[in-house]
Amino acid sequence: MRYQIKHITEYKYQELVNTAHNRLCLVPLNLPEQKCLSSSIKVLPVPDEQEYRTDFFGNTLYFVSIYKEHNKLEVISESLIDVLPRIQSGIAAGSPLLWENLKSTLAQRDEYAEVAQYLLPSPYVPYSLEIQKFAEDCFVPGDTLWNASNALMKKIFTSLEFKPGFTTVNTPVETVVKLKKGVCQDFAHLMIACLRNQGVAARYVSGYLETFPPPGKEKLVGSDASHAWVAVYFPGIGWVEFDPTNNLLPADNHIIVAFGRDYFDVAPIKGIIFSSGTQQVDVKVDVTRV
Amino acid sequence: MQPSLQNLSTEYFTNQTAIDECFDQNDQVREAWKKLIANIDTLGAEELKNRNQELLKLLQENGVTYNMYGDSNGLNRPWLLDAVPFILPANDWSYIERGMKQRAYVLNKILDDIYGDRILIKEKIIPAELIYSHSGFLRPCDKIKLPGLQLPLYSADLSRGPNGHLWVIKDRTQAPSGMGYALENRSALSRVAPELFQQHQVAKLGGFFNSLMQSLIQIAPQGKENPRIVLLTPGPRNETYFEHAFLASYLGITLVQGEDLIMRDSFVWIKTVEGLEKVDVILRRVDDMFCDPLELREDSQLGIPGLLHAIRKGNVAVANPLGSSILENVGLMAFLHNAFQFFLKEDPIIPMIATWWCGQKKEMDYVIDHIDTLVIKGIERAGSFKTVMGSQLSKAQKDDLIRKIKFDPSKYVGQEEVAFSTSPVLYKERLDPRYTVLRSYLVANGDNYELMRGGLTRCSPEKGSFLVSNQDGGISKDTWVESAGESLPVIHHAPDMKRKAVLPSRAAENLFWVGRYTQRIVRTSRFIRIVLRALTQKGFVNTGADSESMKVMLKTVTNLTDTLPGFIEDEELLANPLPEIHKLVCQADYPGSIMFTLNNLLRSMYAARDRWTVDSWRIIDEIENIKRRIAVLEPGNIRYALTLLDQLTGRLLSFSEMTRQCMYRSDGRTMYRMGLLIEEILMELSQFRSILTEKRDESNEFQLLEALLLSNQNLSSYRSVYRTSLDIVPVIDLLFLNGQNPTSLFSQLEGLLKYARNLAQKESGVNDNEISRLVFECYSTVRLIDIPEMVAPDENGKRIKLDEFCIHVQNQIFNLSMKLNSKYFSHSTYQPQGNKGGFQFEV
Repeated sequence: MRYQIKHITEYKYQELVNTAHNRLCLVPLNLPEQKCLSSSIKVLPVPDEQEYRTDFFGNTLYFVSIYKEHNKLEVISESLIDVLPRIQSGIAAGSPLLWENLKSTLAQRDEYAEVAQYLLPSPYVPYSLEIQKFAEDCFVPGDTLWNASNALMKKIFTSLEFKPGFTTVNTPVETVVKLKKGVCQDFAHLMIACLRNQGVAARYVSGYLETFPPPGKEKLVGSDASHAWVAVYFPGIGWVEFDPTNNLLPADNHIIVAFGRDYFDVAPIKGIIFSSGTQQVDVKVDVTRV
Repeated sequence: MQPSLQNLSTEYFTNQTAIDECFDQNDQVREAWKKLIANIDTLGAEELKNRNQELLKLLQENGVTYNMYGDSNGLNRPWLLDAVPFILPANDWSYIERGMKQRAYVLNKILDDIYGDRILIKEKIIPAELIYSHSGFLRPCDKIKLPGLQLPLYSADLSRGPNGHLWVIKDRTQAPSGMGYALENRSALSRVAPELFQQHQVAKLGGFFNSLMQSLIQIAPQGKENPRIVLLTPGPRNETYFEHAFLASYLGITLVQGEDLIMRDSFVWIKTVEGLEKVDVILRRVDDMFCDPLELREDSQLGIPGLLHAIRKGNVAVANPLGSSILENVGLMAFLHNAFQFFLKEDPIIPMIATWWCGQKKEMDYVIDHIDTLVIKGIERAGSFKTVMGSQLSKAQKDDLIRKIKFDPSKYVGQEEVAFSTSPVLYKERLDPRYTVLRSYLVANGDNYELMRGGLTRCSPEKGSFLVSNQDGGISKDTWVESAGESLPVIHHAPDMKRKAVLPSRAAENLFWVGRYTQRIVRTSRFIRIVLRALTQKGFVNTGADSESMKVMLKTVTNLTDTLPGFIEDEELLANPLPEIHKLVCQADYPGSIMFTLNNLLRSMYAARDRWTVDSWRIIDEIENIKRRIAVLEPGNIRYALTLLDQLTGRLLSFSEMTRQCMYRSDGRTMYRMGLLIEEILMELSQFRSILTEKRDESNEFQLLEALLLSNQNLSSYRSVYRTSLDIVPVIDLLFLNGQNPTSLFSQLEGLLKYARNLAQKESGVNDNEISRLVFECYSTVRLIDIPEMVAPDENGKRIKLDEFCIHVQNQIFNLSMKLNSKYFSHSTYQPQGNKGGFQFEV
């Protein structure tokens, strides 16, 4: 499937900002399951300094600095991507690996030196007894890693209501469990937390999802969104994706931008602005098949 | 044994519980300590005690402090130094030298690997989890390298174990503290007790600091020969701020806070009064994860957004590098032996304290089984877990701890509980054996490490306690290494000497406010004293304002201190004014009171402490003492405020004089003087408005004019110049226009104009800028006044024109202060992008 993505972020500042540094994580990765044919990022005001850099996780980051006064910042990211249907989930479904054996199996393998970090707590994903309890029933002794991961995805999907406005990026997963509401990054963080608390390696995927309008209606411009989901590590197979927000296995309408331990590593836009005034943000995303 | 030592050490040996550094198991003085003990004997027990007192007094006067977190006594807690030094025997010294160099080298290799190929992890020499789970592993710092050795500075704590060998207890790798205190200890002890040094050839410390400068120069970008080096401090509230300021002045480098620096065009710049200046090397005392809010902790206000970008570009070097706190992970201790073998095929020369990292099943089980004999630590230095000794826990506490360990084992280690050796500390007039830790310092020089021939020795504050840290009130000792006759050439490198000294904007602002607060206190004190004297004339009985002039004076006090409503329109308060006066002098939480301003002044002085000489600092210490006396003044004893305020004013004036001398012709002095002058003018105008705007009957007007002249210290000069009775026209002439009178408005503005033009000159080479023009306008306005016209009262007896004139000049001066503020002082506040609530995803 070929997609054209347009992701526009607009910040409006109450007071003039005279200096701003931003780290943009918006360039989609090149992977066996997707090819990024083109990517362009336009920033307004035009940056005084800019640089592309590959981060620790292999993602492409774009650093931009602006040294002139502005009361508005616009980031327009456009990319063209070919996405292939994922094959890993099919293979993983047949994997006999038990979830409780994952850690010891992994520890024997070379990639442990890298994958080990996805077993550990990270800025938004703590070790927590509450989280352990929440997911206990999904991790039945003697069950496969595949079954446990699917059971967990389903449990999160059914326990949490998708509702924007109740959580922020800083809402702890324990609170999300109590609120039973959240947005896709809360779903993803909770699933990762449950997995890591049981000794399963999981990482955060930042990207886009193609959405479909209700039957008979036309798709609205800007109605898509940036999205977040989860990948679980299966030794010998690789990273297998799960989307707990929609309770589905990503096939070919999930477009990957970046991988990280959690949102902290791959936030689409992170920055520091020199100003003490308040700010407003508006995000529009369009994912179009071409 | 000599009698004097006996006096001091009668109970020493009965208190002995471990190996002692000074006395052997037969209570005989060890060889290395014999000469020192002989010197102590010669000095005598009494004299040693006196010197100990003197030592503490000297350190206090010099403002040597160690700040305590959460200490309600405020910012500065005195540094404790014992008169008895710590002697490192020659054989120990050569062992430490070899062992510490080896250790520094290996740690440098580990750091290089962790942010490089991570072979240690791939080869399972260090467990992956131990690195990945530690907050000191900073992914954005991956692959960033310094030229040469990766760890320019290194320090470790050493203690002597029961087997008589020195062991490494912990490593300090990101911003080792204490070397400045070591230097200060030496200079204080050699000044107060030079007799102790007789027969000794104690190695000098200066050479180490030259090497430190060399080391910093060596990492400068593009091999720059004369780099600009700055010391980055978290600020005056940091526990070792004294040391930051002290080291910066000692090394001749600029002391800065994060807000003084900015990243722009891939370089780091320092914001100074004269514009931006490029920075090449940053010696940091800010923890690494706070150094760049763009890529590390985004809630930090102590760093420089974009710093990592400039580092990656190779335009600025930071020592120690960001990310080096990973080496302070205590869990590493358990694997260092293997790392030594891996890199050097050698065992560590200095053994380290036995450590079991709970991230491994077998080790965790061992720790849990032996919890009674182990010390349990978290691997994070700044973590929420506080070190505990298993032996001191109750059953319930132990169970709780075991639960915590089992829940997240990789966060904990168990360490052997070692009985450190003791050394003698002079405590309550006798010697007491206290557990002792030596902090040793190394600096990279070329391909090698160089060890400080000395160090910082610290002893436990309480007998029998193993806790030796400054946070818990430890006592320090000067540390002696015999130099065995050799004298190393001491070469002086003063890289900043060739550079123009710069005044960071924040320092400029602090100096400006030191000037303003000083003058505010001087003027307020003087006027309050005049009022207080008049009020208490009648045998110190509490009298109310019984005359018109007294009421006006009390209202003037309210206006001067900006404490409205105060005496304005409050007949009750006017009838019984002393309680309000007491508040205005003594009450710290009453904005505008002398005490309130004094606290602000001391805070500004402290924040600019690298700018003061030892002599100035001694005066600051005296001001602190007077402050303490004012703080406890009872309302009934308000008359004593007369003397205290007199003393306070005296000290402040000597401080000004001292500053005038030691800051000769620098930008710092300009800022300080402008602060003084601006405050002086504002205070005078406030007095004029309160006292002169209404015409009163002759006797009241006489008293008021007299008070006004007195408070401007012009009464005698008035009499000598005008020789007439007090009349408003000549008074105004003297106070406003007289160029011979240094406190006249005209003279003050003339001074201000000179400084403003200086600034403009330095900045752009011309005399004129917005600020100097503003001052000139004020100056001309004053110059052109027509006094008789201005003082003529209207039909209601009001001198409206005079009042309007004063308001006009006041506004101009306020405006000037604001313009200085926005032009020269740093006020960059920043926040994360998308700060409000973060942004939401929607599907």
